[in-house]
Amino acid sequence: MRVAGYDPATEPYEVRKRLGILFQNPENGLVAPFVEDDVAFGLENLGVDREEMRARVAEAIEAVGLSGYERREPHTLSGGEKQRVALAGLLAAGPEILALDEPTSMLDAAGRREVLGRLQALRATRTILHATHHLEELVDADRILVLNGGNLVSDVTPARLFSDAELLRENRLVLPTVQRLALELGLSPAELRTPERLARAVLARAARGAGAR
Amino acid sequence: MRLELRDVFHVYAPGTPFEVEALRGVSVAVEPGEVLGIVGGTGSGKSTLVQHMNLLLTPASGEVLVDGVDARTVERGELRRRVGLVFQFPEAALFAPTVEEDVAFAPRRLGLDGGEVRTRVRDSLEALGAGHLAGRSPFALSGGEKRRVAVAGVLAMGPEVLVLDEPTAGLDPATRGDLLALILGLKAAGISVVLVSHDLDEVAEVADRVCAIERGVVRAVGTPAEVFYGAAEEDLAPATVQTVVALGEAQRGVGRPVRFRETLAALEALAEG
Repeated sequence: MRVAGYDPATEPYEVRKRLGILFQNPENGLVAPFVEDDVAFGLENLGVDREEMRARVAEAIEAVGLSGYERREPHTLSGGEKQRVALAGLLAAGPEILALDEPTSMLDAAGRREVLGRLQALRATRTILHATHHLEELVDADRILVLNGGNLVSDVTPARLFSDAELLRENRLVLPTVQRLALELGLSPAELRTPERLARAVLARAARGAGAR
Repeated sequence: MRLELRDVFHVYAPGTPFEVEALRGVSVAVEPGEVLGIVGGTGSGKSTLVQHMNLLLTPASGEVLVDGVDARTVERGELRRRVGLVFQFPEAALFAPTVEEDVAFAPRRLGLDGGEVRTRVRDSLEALGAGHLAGRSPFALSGGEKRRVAVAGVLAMGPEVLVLDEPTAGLDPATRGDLLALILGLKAAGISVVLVSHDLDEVAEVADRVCAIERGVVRAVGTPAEVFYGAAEEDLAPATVQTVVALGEAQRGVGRPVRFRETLAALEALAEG
């Protein structure tokens, strides 16, 4: 195994500088008494100078929508807020590769959209590994790797995966609600990503039916 | 059992610069045998609210009533048994060398005899589809298996109300589906369930009533159709409801379906004229 050319077994610190992990349960990653210290923790370990650290911490806190929370104690935050703090810590450290384990599991719809938007913007300069059971979060991915029982089963595009009922079933994957409705209605699940598009497709079919009669 | 919160306020770190008013006059009841979904944004007060249900948190003002009786007068251990609370990421509290011993911990503390404890452990693990894990170390299980075991540990106390705080967060679809089936099974057995979730699609499938909270205030309580169709404009609706609302004018002929099957049937009828 090599990460950015380094062997994790012999050069773990080189690897950790370049690859940051966001754990599934945000509690597992929170260490400091205040939100801003927690976000700064990774930078402190990298020896970043004070001024730059301040700027990067402030920027990361803003990026996850937690401005005003700097002096809050992490243990008083909600699950979703803790998850944002953990993500801010990772963004501040700014590794080349971000490995995220269910990064939105504790977020509401608006928070999920914000975080996904942020990750989308990071794609220009970073590599993102996003592990999730929520397939709707992967509709814009370049590639989806399907794992089952410790084996790599498939390496496909989202459009391909979403329309392969057998591959989904064999790996116990469930399509998002909108795509499931589309599939059951005999419409294309890969194209109908949003409730609005699905509604339009249903109305179009109803109009065609009415025209034919 | 009927559980009622009446005008509950809760303040974290009162009198300090970090003071946060997390609940501001919340009134909501859990009716016997119902599934009550609690929804709301991050930091809206959902977890604070449910931690009042067994007085793990005590209100700054307001009351918690158990069958009409002030919960503070109920013996604390008895209250915690009758109202079982499963925390977010409950697997973090697994501690025993085997699954069986972990699940047995609470019923044993209730002073039940060995035979009764064994029966409860077995039944709870079976209910969670985790009977085959009894002899395993909880630390060697997958995330989904750990979650099943942690929920079984609370179920083994024999609660009359089971409160689940984000029980499906981070879970695979199969485990999630099993947990939702368990909720409906408990309801069929007369146990009330309170389901706190960010996943509106799952709340839509199992809830009898929904309570929507926002910044510590109850914004709406009612049937899933009432709450979700009333809030569809503001992101607080499952994908089924959003799709129906997006039909615009044509929605009138469709009604207000919420669950997947009902919504599918309504859309099929519309598409086929």
